[in-house]
Amino acid sequence: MSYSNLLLPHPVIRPGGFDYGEEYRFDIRIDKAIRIQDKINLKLSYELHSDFISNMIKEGKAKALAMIKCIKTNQRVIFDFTETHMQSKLQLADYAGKMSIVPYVVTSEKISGFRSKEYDDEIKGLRPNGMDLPTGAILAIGKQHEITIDSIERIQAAINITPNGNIKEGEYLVDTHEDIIQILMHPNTLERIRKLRSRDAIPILYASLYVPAVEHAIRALNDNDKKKSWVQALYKTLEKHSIDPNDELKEHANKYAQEILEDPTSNRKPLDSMISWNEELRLGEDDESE
Amino acid sequence: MKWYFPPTGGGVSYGVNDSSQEHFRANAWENTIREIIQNSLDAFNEHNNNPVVVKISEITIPAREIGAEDLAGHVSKALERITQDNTIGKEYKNALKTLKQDAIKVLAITDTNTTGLVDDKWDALVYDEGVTSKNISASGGSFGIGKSAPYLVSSIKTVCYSTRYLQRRTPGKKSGRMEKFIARCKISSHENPKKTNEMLQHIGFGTKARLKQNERAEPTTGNNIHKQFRLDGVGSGIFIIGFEPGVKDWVKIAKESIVRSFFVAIHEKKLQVIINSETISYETLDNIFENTKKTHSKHYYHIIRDSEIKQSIAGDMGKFSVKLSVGDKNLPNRIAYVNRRGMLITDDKTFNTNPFSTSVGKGWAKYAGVVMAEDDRTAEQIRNMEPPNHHAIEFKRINDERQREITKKNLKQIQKNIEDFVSQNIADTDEENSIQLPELAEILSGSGNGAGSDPYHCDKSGDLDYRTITPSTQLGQTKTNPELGGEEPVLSEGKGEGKGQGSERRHPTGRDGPKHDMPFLERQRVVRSENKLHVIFTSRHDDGKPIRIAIMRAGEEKRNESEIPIISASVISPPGLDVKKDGNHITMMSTFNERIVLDLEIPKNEPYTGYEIMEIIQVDKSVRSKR
Repeated sequence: MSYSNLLLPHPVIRPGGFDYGEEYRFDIRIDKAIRIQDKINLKLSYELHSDFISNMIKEGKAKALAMIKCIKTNQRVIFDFTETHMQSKLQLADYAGKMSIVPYVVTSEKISGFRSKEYDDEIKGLRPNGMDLPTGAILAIGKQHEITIDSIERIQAAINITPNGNIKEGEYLVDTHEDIIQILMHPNTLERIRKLRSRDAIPILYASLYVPAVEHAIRALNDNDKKKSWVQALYKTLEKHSIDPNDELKEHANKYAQEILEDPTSNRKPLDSMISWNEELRLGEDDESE
Repeated sequence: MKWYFPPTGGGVSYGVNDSSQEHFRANAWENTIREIIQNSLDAFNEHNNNPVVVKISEITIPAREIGAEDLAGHVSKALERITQDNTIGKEYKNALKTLKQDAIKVLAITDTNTTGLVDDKWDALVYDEGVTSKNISASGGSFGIGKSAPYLVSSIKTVCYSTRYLQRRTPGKKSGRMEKFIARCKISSHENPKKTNEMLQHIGFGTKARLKQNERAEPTTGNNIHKQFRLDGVGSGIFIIGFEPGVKDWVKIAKESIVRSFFVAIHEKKLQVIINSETISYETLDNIFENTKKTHSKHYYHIIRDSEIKQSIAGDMGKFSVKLSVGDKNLPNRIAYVNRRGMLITDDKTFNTNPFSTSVGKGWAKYAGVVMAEDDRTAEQIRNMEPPNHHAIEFKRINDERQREITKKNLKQIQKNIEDFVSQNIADTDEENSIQLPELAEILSGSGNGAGSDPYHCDKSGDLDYRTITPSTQLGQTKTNPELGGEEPVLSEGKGEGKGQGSERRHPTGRDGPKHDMPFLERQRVVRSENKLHVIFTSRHDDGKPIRIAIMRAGEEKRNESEIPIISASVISPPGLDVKKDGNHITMMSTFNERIVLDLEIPKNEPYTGYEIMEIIQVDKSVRSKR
């Protein structure tokens, strides 16, 4: 059932509605829609032109949320907005064909004497003393936004970790000669990294691996072919952070790398010591030997 | 043919469990075919360069030719000893059923270009248990219990052996062409059907030769052998009587088992197998692999056939040849050991069952390898570590502790050498096994729909297929937006009412299709006040036309039950409008473009929900049926 067509027993701001004056509107903006591996990253913000309902949200009496659904897969999820923004990572596999997003404002508690100057005159005349609303009553509905899944841009990092049998275990090498930055390491080391990643230990990798790798790339940036994907990506990222890619870049490479990666830690730890923190993750405990 | 089960003579009686068969019980048919072909390969004729040819075919023989009636007496007695209704009991009952048939199904497996079962080989096969006569160092078999496997696929636990060979001149022995045949049945020890209180052994022999007191049963020889059991040339034959393979398609499984286990022997032209009329040979191996379900052996076969990456590895364990294939993403990252006869023993990934396995695995480029012993001495050392079913190499089978430790150390040395060889030959950088870093994708976006694209500005612009849908321009009215598309109209049908006419609910705004292309009730509104609904709309019907409406709970199917009960109805506007309540329906006369405000009393417990106003229209059934 689409709420857009039903007659709710109280005033609602909605597209084409006339419970409120024409100047009162509610809608969302899609700030970001990208695919990264098996996820869809979606960033939305809403615009609510109603002081009356905005105040209710501020007072905690109502909240804005978005229902994201897919007819083909029957997937249906609801996300709350924090202030006026919402960011979600959706499983790509849960969606097929198109996804639709409909924003709502609903009451978060029972409301007594619900009335507003923003109402259409007919409503004001009918219920001059306001009305009582239950929790979850819809106060505003926005337009339905529909996105074709296949059209969402697929993003891949211009940096990866690649196994290389010639690198000593526990060490790594940053190779900027290819189209993307390759952090080369021994396959056994790589497997340990893979296990760390699967155990939500990614923050450790920022300090031990990513910052040094990006630092190295920043130093090599101006000496590399500008057609390379990683070079283009790094220039754009620097621009976004208002960092001038001039000759001083190399001197402050570590600082910039931390800034780009938004890494609060500056206590870099060597890769091999990081791996030894997790002895249980070490290879060799499985069934490959007796 | 008569059956002779020797008396136990007061010795041990054997029960129903035959431990020698247990090694083969899982996948009995596959194990049987593997054992039989291995035996044939072991008996190859070294004076002859031709491949061992194994022919497998299904035949039937008259029951009397295997002494069915006599044998049934023994099986009946064996059945009497089984007190519980267990699997063996069912098998014996099944055996008796088979023995009552006039003709019995037999699987005939014969080989040529082999030596035949000469002297002690015949004795070891027929008269000995757990004894091997294979003195050839590189032979595949070693325990002498592989011969137990075929009994698992015989409904009457009976296997016949036939052989033909040339007996050299030896003092005290006849020389020239020898042909022998004997049937052998393995059931539990049982009472002599012809002599009360005499227990007989669990293995009996079927022969036409006269039985001599206190001597073993001699085989049927020469022309006395039934023609279907005689061989055309030097070689041997196994006949599984009452063949019941326990699988749907025994030919297919046999073919798969043969190519999976013996691809090296076949490729090296040491073996040819003919099943019914289909030949598995050097020439047909490629094609058969193509049509065989996915198996690692296909990769190993390609390695043997094509690979140039090879090395000889020597150590205290002996000399081995290693061949590798690298790079193909489908390779299984396994090392297979194939014995000197060309039979795959194992490609396990654990040292305990395959000491040639390597720990080079995930993260490296894909690889596969085949290891073979280079000489008979090395082959023998490995063979001594194989279990009876020859599916593994287990150093732990060595009893002597010191010898076991030495062997383990020697095997570790070989394993290390193989591992080094693999590492040297697989690619340094394996991009297929790279770790992608999605957590950095938005920070360093290298490729999207286009390389270097910026994820921060990929909303409605660019390639994103995006649209907004305005569901209605007016409450309760769905209108298709020509630019953006829109929702499908919904048609809801009610039940027929009245005489000659039916009633039908129609969304009053024209949602129910092109025949109602104009909305009739515009600017609808319902406002709830405890047990009252203010229902408001503007009529687009002509003056004087009756309007009949019902208020429905939104989101439900449009049935009579989803109509909101109306207790009473009154008019707020326009003054003087006459409304009639008919059940849950309200009828009034239309005045075009007039705003109508009704006050409907509803039950107090009516849920707080959304609503839809449905117009009840009268439909002439006769007209509708003509459509």
